[in-house]
Amino acid sequence: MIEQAFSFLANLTTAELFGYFWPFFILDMTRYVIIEGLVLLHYLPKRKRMVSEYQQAKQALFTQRPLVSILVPGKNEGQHLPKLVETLNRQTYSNIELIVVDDGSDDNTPIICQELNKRGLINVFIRNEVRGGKASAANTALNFAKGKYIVHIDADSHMDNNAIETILIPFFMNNEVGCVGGDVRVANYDTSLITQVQGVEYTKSLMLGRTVASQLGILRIVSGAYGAFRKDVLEQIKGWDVGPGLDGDITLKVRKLGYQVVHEPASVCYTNVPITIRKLAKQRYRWDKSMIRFRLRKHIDILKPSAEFRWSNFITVVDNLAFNLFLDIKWFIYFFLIIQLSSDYIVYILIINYSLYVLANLAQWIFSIILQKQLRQSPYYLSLLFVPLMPLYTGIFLRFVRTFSYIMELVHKRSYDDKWNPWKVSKVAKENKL
Amino acid sequence: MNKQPVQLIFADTNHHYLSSKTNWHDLLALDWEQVSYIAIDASDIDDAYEALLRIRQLGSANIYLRPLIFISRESKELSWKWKAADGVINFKNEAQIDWSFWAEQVESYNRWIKKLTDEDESVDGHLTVKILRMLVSRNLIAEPLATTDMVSGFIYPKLQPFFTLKDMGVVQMLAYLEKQQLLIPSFIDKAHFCNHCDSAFLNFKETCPQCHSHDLETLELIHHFKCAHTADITQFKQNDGSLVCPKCDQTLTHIGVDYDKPSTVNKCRTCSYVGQDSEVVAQCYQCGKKTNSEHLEVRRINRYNISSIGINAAYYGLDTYFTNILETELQLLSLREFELFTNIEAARIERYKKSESSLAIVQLIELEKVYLALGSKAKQVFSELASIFKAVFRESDVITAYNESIFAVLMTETSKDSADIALNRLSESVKQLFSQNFDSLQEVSTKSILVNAELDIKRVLDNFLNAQEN
Repeated sequence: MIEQAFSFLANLTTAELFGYFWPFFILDMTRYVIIEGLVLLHYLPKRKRMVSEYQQAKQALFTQRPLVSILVPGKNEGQHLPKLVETLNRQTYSNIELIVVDDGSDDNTPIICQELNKRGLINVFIRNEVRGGKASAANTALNFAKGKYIVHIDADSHMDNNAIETILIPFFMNNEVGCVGGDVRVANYDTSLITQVQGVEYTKSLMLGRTVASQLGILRIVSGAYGAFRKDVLEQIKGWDVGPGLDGDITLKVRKLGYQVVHEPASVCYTNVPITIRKLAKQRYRWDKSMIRFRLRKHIDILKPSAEFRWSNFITVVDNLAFNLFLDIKWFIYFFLIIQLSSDYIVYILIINYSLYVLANLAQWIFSIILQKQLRQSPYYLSLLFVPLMPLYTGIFLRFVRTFSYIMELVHKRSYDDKWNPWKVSKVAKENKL
Repeated sequence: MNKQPVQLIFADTNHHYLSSKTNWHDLLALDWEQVSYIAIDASDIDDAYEALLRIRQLGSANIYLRPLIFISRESKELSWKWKAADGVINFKNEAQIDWSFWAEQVESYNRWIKKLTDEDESVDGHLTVKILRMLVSRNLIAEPLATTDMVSGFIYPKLQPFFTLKDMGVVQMLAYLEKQQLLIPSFIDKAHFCNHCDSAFLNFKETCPQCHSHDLETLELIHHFKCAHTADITQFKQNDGSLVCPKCDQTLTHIGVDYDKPSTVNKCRTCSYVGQDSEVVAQCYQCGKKTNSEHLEVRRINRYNISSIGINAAYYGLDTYFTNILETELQLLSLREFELFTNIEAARIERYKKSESSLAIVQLIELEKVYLALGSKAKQVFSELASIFKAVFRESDVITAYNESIFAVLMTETSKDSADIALNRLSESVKQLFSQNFDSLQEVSTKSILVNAELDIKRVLDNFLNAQEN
């Protein structure tokens, strides 16, 4: 069958090739292979050329030694905190304060935090008896932060020893930078097949994809798991708004103020990812709903002509909407056309499509390995084994979850029922159409 | 009245004024069995209480148990000191006072005293026994009264006058008697005491766990649901008292509907520490020392009824461990026997004029605290103490216990200097015993006097006790 499929491919003319596989060649290969490859070709030598500027920024950082506030809001996250505290103690940049906000935990989190607080390992510990949601907890922490820079990090994360230093350097290289995304990797990579596949996804989409987006000036998200902000910028936008998807929301708010949003792949943070397919589906269902709520509703003004209109912000949102929302529809059109026009070759077309997307993923995997090598990081070479699964994972599983999520949000506004927010907060958010 | 603050009211004549020149020694010499009660001029309550105090602290049950009545032209009885007396007579015209009424009122007390003093008085001076006797003779329930006059914060007005500055506090003493099953407690209150000076006057302060400053500001946090803004209430509060969100300018209306208060935080104005933890420290008004609230002494303040064992002990004396042990080890004599021996010895010396003997007085200050600190183990300590007594004094010496901590020793054929040497040796040994074994100090107060015909043992012991108190 595979042999016949490739025989079918070999006999195609160029026009036929584009006719049968236009979504891949025109859209996905262009966006994710060619553009990313070209940007990387530009970025890697540029990063080398900027070593002296990088060193100057580093020197400025260590000369000025600004206080950095690490905010860790969360519920029932106590078990993870000792490891996070340990990695913070090993940081090459040490002028930091750790602020932990316990958002109404009902496990032993308060006891763990109080103990760490007594030992001086947590600088400020606030226990909110009444749960208020992630944004409220983050804002509580922000209220007590004294640092010039704010690093927001998930409690179940830990960092490389130079993570804080490297995430701060972009602020010293460019005054226009309002926030910096850290590079989030999978901490529990070896736990299951699901975590290993996500490991490939994180290096491919988050590290490579966000580095490229950052270079193109269209980075639309600084991960809530690990991101740094200028405190004065956060004060201007008055902190986080009600989620879900508050990380993407705050990134757009920073962009709307005219600040640059960049990704720093050298600053690595490790976070725990879902270990079962069911949990993963739930996580992505939450994340994807926020795309509709924030891009299509709350920040739709980015797409409209106004005094604050910026092309970079416009392209950021259009890119997001185009490649995630509208191109979902493309697949239904594509399959409808294939079934209608070439039903005899449908199996060949599917096999060839799968192969092409494996190749595209392989190209992205190679790019990510090159980037990591340039950053003197240690890539997981064995993750290559999971690359052939990526079309199934991203092309079918994630696409299905995403499509379902979009429909539920567009039709039922299910993001307002998000259990990560207290019902009273969700109720107010829904009433006010936030 | 002012010139004669203390009057003894006799049951037969109803009335007897003491001369203004009457001193305490003359008082002791009176036939107290004839006295119905003592009327004390309370036109100055402090003076009156002082007089009451002196009477209650005497050694003879005939005197210290005698009913005491305050008489006053004023009817205001604000101070707890008024409650220290058995009764108060308010009058407009002194001539109209019906002295016999009170004689009838206190008759039952006097009958009990009469019955008691017909028995042996060897343990008469024991503070514990005095307390029990006071309660039994009056059929009294010891009621605590909150007061700012005493550092202990609580007072048992009728019992307080029995205590000197050197005695343990009333609260501790009653707790000790409770432990001995002599009193039955019923809970009234619980109080914290300074563990340095026992004062109940404590200023509780929340202090910064970082710099220990008590300049802390406690602030409520407010979470506005709509915009997720969370900050302390000062950022929301307007001049008119309303709450307006600084992030979205919306007026907050109802707690639980559009906002809530998830917690409170402490801000230290000294070191800028922010957190919800604070150390509660109590600063003592009396000694000024600061103690973490967890380390304060917490005591139950009880109302006390006397138990049947207590009634028995009030009548027959309290078999205290130390005197009991001394009795076994050194053949402790009763005060009456001791007086007899001393009188014989004084007469012998007077007659032959060839030798001299000394009276040694030893006070083990606050020995009661050993009971409280060591419980049943106190017996071992008292055995050690008894051994010291046995080693220092000779077999020919005669010993009595005036109360549980004051002992009188008749050291026959011993000069005052030799007696002093022996007393020094005893003091050093006792102090060494406590410092080496319990890491604490046991203060010992001693006195020696030559035995002669004029020697009045009870007076000497009373004077010694008064001197120690002053």
